[in-house]
Parts: sequence; C-alpha cells; structure tokens
Amino acid sequence: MATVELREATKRYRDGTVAVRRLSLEVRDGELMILVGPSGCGKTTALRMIAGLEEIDEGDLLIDGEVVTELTPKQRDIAMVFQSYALYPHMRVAENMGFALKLAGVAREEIDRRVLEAARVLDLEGLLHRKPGELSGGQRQRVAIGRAIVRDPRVFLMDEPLSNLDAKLRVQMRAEIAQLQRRLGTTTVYVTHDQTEAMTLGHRVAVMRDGVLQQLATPAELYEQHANLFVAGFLGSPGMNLLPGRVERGHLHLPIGDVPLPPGAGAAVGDGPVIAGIRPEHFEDAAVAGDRPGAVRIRTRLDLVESLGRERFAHFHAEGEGLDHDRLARLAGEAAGPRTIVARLDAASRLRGGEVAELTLSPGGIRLFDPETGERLAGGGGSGAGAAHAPDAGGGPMRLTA
Amino acid sequence: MTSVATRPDAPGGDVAAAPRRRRMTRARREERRTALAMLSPAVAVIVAVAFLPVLYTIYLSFHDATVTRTGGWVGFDNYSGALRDEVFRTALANTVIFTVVSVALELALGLAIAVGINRAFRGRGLVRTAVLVPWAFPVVVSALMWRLMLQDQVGIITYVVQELGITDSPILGDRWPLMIAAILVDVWKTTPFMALLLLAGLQTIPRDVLEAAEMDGATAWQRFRDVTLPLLRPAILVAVLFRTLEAWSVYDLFWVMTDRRLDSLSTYVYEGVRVSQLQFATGTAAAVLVFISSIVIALVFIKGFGAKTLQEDER
Repeated sequence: MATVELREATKRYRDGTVAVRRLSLEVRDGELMILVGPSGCGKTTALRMIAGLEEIDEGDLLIDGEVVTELTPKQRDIAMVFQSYALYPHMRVAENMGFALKLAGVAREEIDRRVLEAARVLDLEGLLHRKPGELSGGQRQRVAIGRAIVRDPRVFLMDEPLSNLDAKLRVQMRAEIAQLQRRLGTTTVYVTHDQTEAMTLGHRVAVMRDGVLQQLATPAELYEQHANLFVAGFLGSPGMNLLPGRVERGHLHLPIGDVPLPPGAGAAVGDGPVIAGIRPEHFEDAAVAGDRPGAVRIRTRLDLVESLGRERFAHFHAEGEGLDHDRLARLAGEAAGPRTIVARLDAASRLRGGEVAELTLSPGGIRLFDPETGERLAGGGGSGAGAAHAPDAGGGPMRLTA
Repeated sequence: MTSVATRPDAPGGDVAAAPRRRRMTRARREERRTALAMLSPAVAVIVAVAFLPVLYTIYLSFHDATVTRTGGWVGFDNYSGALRDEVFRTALANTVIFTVVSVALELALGLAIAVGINRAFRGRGLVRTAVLVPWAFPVVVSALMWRLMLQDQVGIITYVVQELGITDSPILGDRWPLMIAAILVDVWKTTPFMALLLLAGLQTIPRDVLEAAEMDGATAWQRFRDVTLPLLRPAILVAVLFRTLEAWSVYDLFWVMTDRRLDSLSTYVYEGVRVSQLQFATGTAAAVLVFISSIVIALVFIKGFGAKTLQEDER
C-alpha cells in the first residue's frame, strides 16, 4: 500500500542524451498505472528510476510522501517483474520465489508458507521443484510474478511482462494480472509499448514520447480527449486517420469532402488550417448505415478491403493535396500512421476493393489539431476544451512537444 | 540398391507408399555407410598419431626396455621401481604442491581480475589487452627472464630480498624457495588466461538476473556469492580443469628456471627416457603414470563435478 510520486525527474545519459525529461506523475495508492509509448520513449528508464536501478539525475522520487531518491532498491521495498523474467537459472522455482525473503532473514517455515501461498494463487504448486530451464514461457512468467508477490512489497513494477508470450497466452495473462492486482490492491507501475495492453489494464495511462510525458488520463479519456496528435495517433488500432483541413464559417473542408462542424465548435476553433483526426470507426458503408442523422456522405474509390470476419477495413486515399508528412512525422512521430485512409466497416458490408463506394462519416467523431503545434483544438463534437491538460496529473500542466 | 533408386514411379499412390518408406530407411542406411567411409581416413590418422604412441609406451613400460631394444616382459617391475625411487616421489610431491597451489592462486586472482574488468570503464580495451601480455610469452622465455631476475649474483629480486633481510641464501638454491619462485612465475604467466576464460563466463550472465537480485535486496557480496558464482561454475570448472592438466604436466618452467634442481613428473620422465638411458624402462612407466593420472583428473572434473567442456545446457 503506497503512493509513488515522481517530481520533475530527469535522467541524462553520459553521452548527453536525455532519456527522461522533467517527468512528474503521481501513482495513487492501489492504482495500476501504465507507462506507454513507442520504443525509446523513456518509459523503461522511468520505471528503472523508480526501481532504483537508474539514478535520478534531477528531481525526486517519493514513496508514501517520503523522499527515497537516494535509497537503494532494497531500502525502497519495491518488487520488479522483468521483461526477460530474469529468473535465477540455478535455483528451483521455490528458491527463486523465496530468495528475497531468505536474504531478509525470514524464518524458513515462514518462507515456505508464503511461497506455497503465492504458488497456490499462481497455480504453480506442482512446479516448485523445477528449475526455470524446465518451464514453459508462461510458467516462467508466473514464477517471475510469484517472486514479486511473495515479498508483499509496497510497489510492483512490471517491465513489459507479457511481451515474450505468444498472442493467446498474452491475452490470458493480461486478464490474470488485472485480477491479481485488483485482489492484492498493490500499487503497480506497468510499462508496455502495446496500446491494447495499456487501454485494457490501466486505471490510468501515462503516454510518453522522447522522454516527455504527453498525457496522463484514464483510458477512456485518452481515447476521446487526447491532448495532441501524438496521443491521438498512438492509441487505437488501426490508428487515427490524419487529414489536412481548413475551417471556414463553421465548415470543415477536407480532401474527402466538406463537413459541417457542430454549432459553436467552429467558432471556438476559428477559421484557418487544421489537421483533422478521424478514427476508422467513424466511417461506415452507406448501404449498411442507412440515413443517420447528421452523417455526411462521401464518394471514393476503395483501394483495398480487408475482412477480419467481424469487421472489414477499407483503405482509400484522398484526392488533392496531402499532408506535409515531414511535419506530421515531427508532430506525431511513429503514431503518424500510413498515408492511406482506413475505414472500419460492418461485416455486412458488400464493398470490395476497386469499387467506387459511398461511405458515411459522423462529424461528431472528428478531432481537430493545431497544424503547427499538434495540440488538440476544441471542437468536432465532444467537450474537448479541457483535454489539453491531463486531469489530475499531480505535476503541473502538460508539456507538449512543439 | 541401384534397382530401387532408378525404379520408375509406380502408378497409383497405394502401391508407391510401401516401397517408398523402405527406400527412405535404405537411403538413410546408405547415408550412414557413406559417412563412415568418409570419416575413416581421419579416424585412421588420429589412431596413428594419438593412440599408437600411447599404446606403444604402455607396451614398453611392461618390458625391460632400453633405447635400442624392447627387452623381455617384466610385469609391473618398472612401476614398482619408479614408485620406490626417491627422486620420483619427490617429483610427484613437487608436482602435486605446484599444481594445487598455483591453480588455486590463479583461480583466486583470475576471478578478481575478471570481475574487475567485466564492467564499463575508460580504457577497458587497453587493460584487457595488457593483462594478456604475460600469457603471450613463450614459457621458456619468461622462465629465463625470471631466472635472471632471481639469479644470486645479478638478480634484481635476489638483491631486493637480501637488502630487505628476508633471506641471505640464493633463491634458486633450495627446494622451497625454488618451488615458491616457480609457483609465482606460473601464476604471473597464466593468471591472464584464467581471467580471460572466467571473463567469457561472466559475460554470459544476464544483467537482468543480477538486477533482479538487487531488487530482491541482495548486497553486492550476496549477488556475487548467490548468483554470479553459481552461474559461473561451468566456466570455473573448465578453466580449472585446463589449468590443472597443464600444471600437472609442467616441464619447461622447471627445466629452464630451476636448472634441473627441482623435479616434476614430466622432468623425471624426460630424464629417465632421454638423459639417463639406464632409467629408460622406469621412465616409460612414469610416463604412463602421468598419462593415467591426467585422465583420472579429467574424469573427476567431468564426472564428479559435472564440468561441461563442450557445451552447456543450462537455460
């Protein structure tokens, strides 16, 4: 039971690169906080700073309100699950799980009792006498988690714990970790590059890019009220479509057609160029959707239609001028996504690649961004006004990459 | 065989299935035969080069042999002769002391050096290369060099030792100073080799595992004792095995540095077989004893301690 707080924490490597820049976030007691971002965004470094495996060059780390910046990992009372599991190959499962307790001088009967209890929780009872080399990937993963929970630490840290598992096992373990964390109620910081994991597991999610926190919010808020282009593009699969646009007198002119903005929203944005973000699910096959109130119809030739059984993805491209991709790459980074537009269609759609199709677009789903800074602009449905600031970030206003 | 190989494809799947299976096993048998045929010249060369001389030496050791003739069968007389020989017993004791002490010192120092240079610091590459310099010298050269430094009239070490009042007698005169000098030279020369083998072992230990131990609350010493050492065990066993076998057959160092005043098993064999022809038969028996004891040492390491010289199946 603990709170974890980073205050303006910075990590600088010897060659001068800044891995984490003035990171401030507060993890509440019992919360499962996700650090997510593309590789190299500093999320793992941030986790290792909390662990005490990396020194914090500037700023502070507080656990339960107490500054622990200078303390060793041992003194911080934190357990960590490594991406590689990092089990001790020469020790049996029971010894692996009991190692920390043994070092702490806990009596043998007590160690045995606690190891057995953790093994029961994780379904490892039959494997206690095996060595890590004799276990499957999923079993090793359980042992690594068991090694952490046996200690009953104040905080759990997990560094991409599911990335070495196959897809099916990953979904299963994801659910188990969520359940386990809820049952134990231990404050947890969890690092992943997988936005699905972040959205499904996290109570709150901190999105990072280039060592800088982009937004800290609940998954639902992140999806709907993203602070900037990067967050918008990073979350969701397939990613958000980004199109150049221009607002004029309450209308949004897009390469795929003109869309009326909701009353008031147009005024809030003001006339001028924007970047419009449209999620694939805000498109639909007009033949399936029928006449939805407020929906805009667009005609386009489809390049390709992919069927995933339950849904279909139609790829098409906009006529006319495209976005300046260099600028987009700077604003959204890896989240910029492909240049074609992707629409998610109902499985009932009969559209095929090469056809000229009629699609509907719900204007309420459109998000507008400043083309210079990438910051979210108000408008396009939803109450975007407060989204530029992370709710309850505990560490001042959001810093945006310009 | 040829008839099967050139047989046209039988019409109809059912008919073809059964012979095809037989053809597979026949093909495999044929493959093995070819493999054996191709290996046999190499095997013959190994037998001729490695096993025949050994077998011939064993054969000689049971005969009243001299350099020029094989002589008659004498059973174990040569062996009991060697074992009764005071010089042989001293040589055996010298070899045991030399092997145990020098390998132990090399392991301790080599481990310390390996741990020391297995971390990032400025000029690490240079240090790693510099550490290997003593090992690159031929034994004869380093033995001569040290002999000069230990020499009782012009030797720098002798001078320092005498000035400090540690001893007055010449270092290369008595058995124990000689032994100590030989051990120190061997340690000086082969510790780098030991360190290099152990360093290779250290580098296979994943950093994550050590960090996990740190998270588990292990101090630096506990991490070394409970994680590094157990994981380094295979590398230690192989390094110690190699060094033990090498030290057990020590010859050139003793011969050159001590001017034949300190005997090892190998110098005893050489003196018996080559220098004093009267001892030829005893020498061959001693040679066989060295050979057998080396095999026993290797077996103890491999079977007893589980040293894996070729591969490692951990993880």
